[in-house]
Amino acid sequence: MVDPSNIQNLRLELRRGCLVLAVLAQCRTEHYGYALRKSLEEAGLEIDENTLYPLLRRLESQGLLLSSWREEDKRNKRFYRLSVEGEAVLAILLDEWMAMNGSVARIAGVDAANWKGTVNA
Amino acid sequence: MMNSKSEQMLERYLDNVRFWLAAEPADDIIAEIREDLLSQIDGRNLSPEELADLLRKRGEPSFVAGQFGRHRPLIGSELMPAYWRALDMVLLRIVLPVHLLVAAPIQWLQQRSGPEASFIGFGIGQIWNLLFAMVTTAGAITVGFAFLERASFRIKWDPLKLGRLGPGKPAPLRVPKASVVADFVGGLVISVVWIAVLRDPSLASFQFGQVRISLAPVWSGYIWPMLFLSLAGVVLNWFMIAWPMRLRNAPWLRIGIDTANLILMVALVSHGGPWIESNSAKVHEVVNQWLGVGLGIAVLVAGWEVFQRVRCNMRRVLLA
Repeated sequence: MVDPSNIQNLRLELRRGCLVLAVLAQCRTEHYGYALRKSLEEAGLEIDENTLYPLLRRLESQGLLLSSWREEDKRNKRFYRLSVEGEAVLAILLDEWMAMNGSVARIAGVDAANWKGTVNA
Repeated sequence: MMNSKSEQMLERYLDNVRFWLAAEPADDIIAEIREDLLSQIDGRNLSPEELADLLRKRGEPSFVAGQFGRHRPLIGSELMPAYWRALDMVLLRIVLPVHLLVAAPIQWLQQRSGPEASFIGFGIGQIWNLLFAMVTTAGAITVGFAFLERASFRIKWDPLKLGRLGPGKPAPLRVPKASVVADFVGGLVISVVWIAVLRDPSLASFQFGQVRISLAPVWSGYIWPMLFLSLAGVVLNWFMIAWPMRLRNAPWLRIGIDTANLILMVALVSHGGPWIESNSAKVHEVVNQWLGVGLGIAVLVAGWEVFQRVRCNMRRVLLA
């Protein structure tokens, strides 16, 4: 019997690194927080507000994102975009991610490109 | 546009989040949270209940604020094993035994002379003192390790210089069977004597020519507990002899009995005598003086034995 809380923790661990990658990638075009969250959601990656906003600040403090307050639709919004350093880091992390993905697929003996899933198959 | 009640609720929520934030980035963070919530509301005229649902989903204010904190653990994972080991060694192997075997008996001897001296009150006071000592010691250790964590202290090590820690599993403590048998017989004799004295108190009186010696009234409160402990020791020793491998907790039972005996002896000594009564004033004085010294030595010996047993408590006991 699978322990749901165990699965939840493992899933959170797995997602933590992926979220950084997804946020950096999505910030190649400028977004404000809410729009960024919606765009990630539309791409199939749901992220909680309480995770996204602290993450954005952390990435900004690391110099990977730049932000600025600007008025849009009569409201002040904070826009984030990838910095030059962020672009370089994203490229490195994407290489790492793809290599890791390929390795895991080979180790698990699955074809990542045509993966249909096992849990809900 | 929200109605004024909903607007007030939103501001109250943001104020509560701000309360938990560090002063410097608070305005910026609150502005961003407000903007996000307004984006979610998207110009709808939310009722207070609908807004409350939205805020509930967002999270409790201290939790929301906490996500923005740059938390650094008080003691990180690298120092944590050393921290637990330090707590274990200092609290359980130093503070606890020193308090029980040294500090408490000394304090009792100092207090016993007072007319209000009560063993129960003293015991409660000692539990409080022990808790206070353990909590303050644990606090000092925690502060020390927190300081090491802040100073980014890391344990330097070299595989070539790792110290030997001894065998992983402690070797069993080998107790001579003869010693257990002697304890069993001795305990049995003492139990029989106490039972006899309880049945006929005159058996505790001795006549040497003109001189008569008997137990002083101070013993009256101690005979029953001493008999109980003596019988407990007899039963334990019998089990040790008959089924030595089954008594995995025998060291703890033995420590419990010895500690209870020690407490009784300390209480008895603390009365300061007289422990015997005699019709001869000279005999009364001399015997009680020597009994005081003898009981004092017995207390120290019993204390040392308990200390030794506590030191060996993690070791299995085998009859040699």
